[in-house]
Amino acid sequence: MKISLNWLRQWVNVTDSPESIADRLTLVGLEAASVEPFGEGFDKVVIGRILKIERHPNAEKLSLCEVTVGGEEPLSIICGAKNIHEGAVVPVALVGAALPNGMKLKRSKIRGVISEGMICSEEELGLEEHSTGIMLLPEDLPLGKPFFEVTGLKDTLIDFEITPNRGDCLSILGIAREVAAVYDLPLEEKEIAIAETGAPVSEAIRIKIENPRDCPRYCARLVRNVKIGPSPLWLREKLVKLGFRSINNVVDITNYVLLELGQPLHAFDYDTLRGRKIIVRSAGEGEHFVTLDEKERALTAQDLLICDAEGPVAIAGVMGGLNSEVTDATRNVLIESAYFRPGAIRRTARRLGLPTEASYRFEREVDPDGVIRAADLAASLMAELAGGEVAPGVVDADFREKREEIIVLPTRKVRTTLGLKIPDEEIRQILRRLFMAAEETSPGVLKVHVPSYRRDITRVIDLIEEIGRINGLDKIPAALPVREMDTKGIDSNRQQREQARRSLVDAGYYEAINYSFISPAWLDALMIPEEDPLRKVVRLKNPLTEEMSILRPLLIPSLLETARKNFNYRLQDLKIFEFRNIYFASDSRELPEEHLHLAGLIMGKNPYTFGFEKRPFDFLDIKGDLEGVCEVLGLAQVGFTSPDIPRPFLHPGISAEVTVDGLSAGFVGKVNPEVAEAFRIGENVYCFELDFDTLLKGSRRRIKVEEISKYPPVSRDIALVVDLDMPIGKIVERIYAFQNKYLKRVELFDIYLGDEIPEGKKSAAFRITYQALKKTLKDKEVDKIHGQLASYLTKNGDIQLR
Amino acid sequence: MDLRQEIEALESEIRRLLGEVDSLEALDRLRVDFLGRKGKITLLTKRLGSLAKEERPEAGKAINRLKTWAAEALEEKMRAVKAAVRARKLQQERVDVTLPGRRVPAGREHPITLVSREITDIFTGMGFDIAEGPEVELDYYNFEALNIPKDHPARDMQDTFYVSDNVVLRTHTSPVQVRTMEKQRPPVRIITLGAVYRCDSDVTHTPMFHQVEGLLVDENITMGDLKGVLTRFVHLMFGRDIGVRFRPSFFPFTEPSAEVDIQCVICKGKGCRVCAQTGWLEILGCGMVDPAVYGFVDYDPEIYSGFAWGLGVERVAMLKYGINDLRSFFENDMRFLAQF
Repeated sequence: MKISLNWLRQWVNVTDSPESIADRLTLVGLEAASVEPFGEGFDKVVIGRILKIERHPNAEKLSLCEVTVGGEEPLSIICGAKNIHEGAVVPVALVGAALPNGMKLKRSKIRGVISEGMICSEEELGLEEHSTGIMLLPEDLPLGKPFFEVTGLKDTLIDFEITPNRGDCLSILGIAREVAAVYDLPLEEKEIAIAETGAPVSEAIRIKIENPRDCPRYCARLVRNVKIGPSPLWLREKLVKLGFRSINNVVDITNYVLLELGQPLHAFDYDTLRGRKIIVRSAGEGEHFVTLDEKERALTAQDLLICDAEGPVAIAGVMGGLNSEVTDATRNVLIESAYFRPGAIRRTARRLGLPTEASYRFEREVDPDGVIRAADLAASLMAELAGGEVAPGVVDADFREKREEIIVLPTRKVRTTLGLKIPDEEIRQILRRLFMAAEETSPGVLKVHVPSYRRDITRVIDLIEEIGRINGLDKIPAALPVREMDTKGIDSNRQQREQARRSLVDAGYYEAINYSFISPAWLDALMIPEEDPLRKVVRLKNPLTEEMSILRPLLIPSLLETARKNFNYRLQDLKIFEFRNIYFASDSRELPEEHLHLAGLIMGKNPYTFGFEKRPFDFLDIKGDLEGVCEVLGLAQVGFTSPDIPRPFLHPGISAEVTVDGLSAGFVGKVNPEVAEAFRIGENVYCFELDFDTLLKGSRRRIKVEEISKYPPVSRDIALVVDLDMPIGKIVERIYAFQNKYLKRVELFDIYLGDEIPEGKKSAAFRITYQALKKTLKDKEVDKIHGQLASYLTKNGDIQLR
Repeated sequence: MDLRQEIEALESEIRRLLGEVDSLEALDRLRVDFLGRKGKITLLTKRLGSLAKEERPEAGKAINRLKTWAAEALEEKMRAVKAAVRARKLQQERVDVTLPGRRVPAGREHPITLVSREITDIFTGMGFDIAEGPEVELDYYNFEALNIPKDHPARDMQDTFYVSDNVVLRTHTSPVQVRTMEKQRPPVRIITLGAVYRCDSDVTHTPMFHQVEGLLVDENITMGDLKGVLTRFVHLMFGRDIGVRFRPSFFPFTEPSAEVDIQCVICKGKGCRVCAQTGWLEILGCGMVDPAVYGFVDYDPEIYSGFAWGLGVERVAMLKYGINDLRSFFENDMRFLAQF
């Protein structure tokens, strides 16, 4: 809500500076977004009088004016407007003047003749969006004085951000009430004088409310014989400053009342209303209506219509109809001033995508007691400014169930809620400043009458808030709640997440956070088949774009996208991870499934540091990083198996399922080159993705310390020849299955293919370490055990000694 | 030459040679030459047998003395040479300490993670537990039970992503308040954190961002307690000299409601571009839990009272690290991520 300080001061005599007013109101909950001077810095626009008008010697359409601005020598100014005459008082921009539209005036030559200034139009002065002629001013303004000052246009505009609960502050009056409360000043109420003539309004119109729930109160006044014309300057300037366009006197008056009192009005051309009737009813399903912006609107049974005897003439609280609009030919005006149910107006305005100044206020509740005053003010202004004759009386259909809000306030509650020792007397003073009458019904209990415009106050807590904010939140002393000594212990879930995260960071991974929504096209790029469970995605009804329309069922696509972006910046070697939720539609519940996933991606080569070999990443790099995570989590049974059915987005031969306690927990592998190509990144990309809950459920390594041997270990090497596709993991299992109590360690140190090894075979060399707890093993003893191991391994025939 | 003269000659020869050698290798040769199996002193011993019987003991002793002396002298020289060699080595060996260390370079956590943790640690230190809730949420928890009915203008404060008429992406972390209170009787002391979503995207809005939210409900909790807890938080997060102010505001689920402004951390309250010349930065929203919310979770507002607050993690991170563009959090440019 933007206000003019000049206008505000007509309601409350506040002398404080604009900045202080803005600050003080901010601290009671009306946040001032801006304080801007209006008409300042334009002091070189002054009052002048045209003495003589001649034709420009070289241009038929231009005039050469002699203009005095009070000095000795008149100025010679060229003007193109038609509406000037000798003796006219006009705003004159002197050479060097800055204008509100950003123009800076220079001495110039127009068609060979020097012009020493400019005679201004309202448009040039920022008072109209568009104007056709020069602005003509009252004759009695002092020549040479700054235009904005002597016309009273100089002002300060303050823009307040009004929270949705404070519909009462969407007007000059509403802000004035807050200022009055803050500064403890009286409100300057204005008398509205109306001279009524002719037949009473009750004979001219009948009102029927068919839906009193959505329209609890509807008032109308009639003004006859108005002359539609331009509004006077004082009215136009008020509207223009607050961002409204001046249309004509009648429409301007309704907007003026809206701004001053916060009550939206509608002006009907009375003669277009058929059957002298106003009917307020719900629209029929599928009913059509043309609003005054000339658009046809399809309505539903939830919209509220204002109708005459034959059909709709306005959508209640949102917009009037083209059929009953005030035009230049209008003679008689019916003023509507009503109170509509906020939810009803809001629903219609939203559905039609038609938020208006009126609907904005109705949604936030207008003052149901204020509708008559608003109609009266509009009628009196139409009489004053448009020469209208006000018909006697107001028709008032009032179906309100509750007329007054009275709250019983135990003052103790104020103190215990705020934690503030505020005496009863101060509470009563604050209520008084808020125009709330309060009687003490018993000691410490106040009966508080809430003004009708404070629709937000219905409960004790609402009053407490009012007292807290007007008294000042800074007055509440800060305390700390006392609590018992207690702890839930270590949050192991959180701790394990931190450990996993830490492990990856230590391994060189950078954490990415991507949006939870992705493009469905990415699932296609990952070659995920239509029937795959990953396609059970959660789709947004109102996505920002199609590229952000589904919730991701997997983190990998986002990481591929991250890789792509960085690849484009020539950051082609990277390690990234993401640790976020994934989502998929649930079969049984209304809410989708959400699971915390941990995913990583490595691309290109390992990061170069001096003294390290730079080489392309391979499968073992990412597997090692994954093992690191499993290790810090203490997982006892992690397995890597070649998948029976490879994931479509992974290389079928260079990927593994990761299992925890035999259950699938995710995957690791090389990104299928076709997928990498779809994301336009290099070929050497590896990734993993794990369901973190499955990891957390996995059984843990139990720590039980073994006695340490004091005797020396002895090592023997063994080279084994096996089929090329026999997993090394199998051989290691077989070695351990030998189950010798002295066998302590098995280390793979070489895999060899080539000369000496038959086609389709490979050689794997292990170093086996033996050690006894209670004695030194003798060479002979070790040779014997090692020999037994060799025959144990070779007995099936699938393993041979090299 | 008789044996005695030979012994003397050998002794002075050794003395001379010891004076000349300066390497371990030369010393070793010297030992072999004199004390080795065919060394000069060893050969001397072998000649004892050719002496007259009565001369033998005397000569034997003299040779032994020579042998012992020579061994000790050699040993002493050895130590001296070793010390000299080591000193020379220490003198010569040099590393360029400015060379980069050899390691796997560590990665970085996302600034959102870093700041979330910092905020969380402050509140868990004050005794708050961490609660969690879904990001895809029922309208009931996100709005209705927080006193935001359908067709209420407060819904305009949050542009909502819908999955269905009844299911939304949570627009704030507040639904976790309701879910927690449904499950637990007071005292309740929780914080919750995570991603929230609003249907808005421009220079100052991203459709996803992060909040940390807190709730404390117990007997005799006042707005003074709210001020105390949040002031303590601000002081721990931004420094003890940072001013705090509470400004009345509106949230449907708290009453009274307030915004908390902190003195601008950039200009220290003097007014700058970051604080739009006001000297203050809006940092979190808070208030006393509205009794209407207790109605949804069956708490008696006559017995219990409490407060709730929420703050934007990105906002804090931007202030802390001097980040100008909100969108950079979700672009995941390595050049950005590498700076934390």
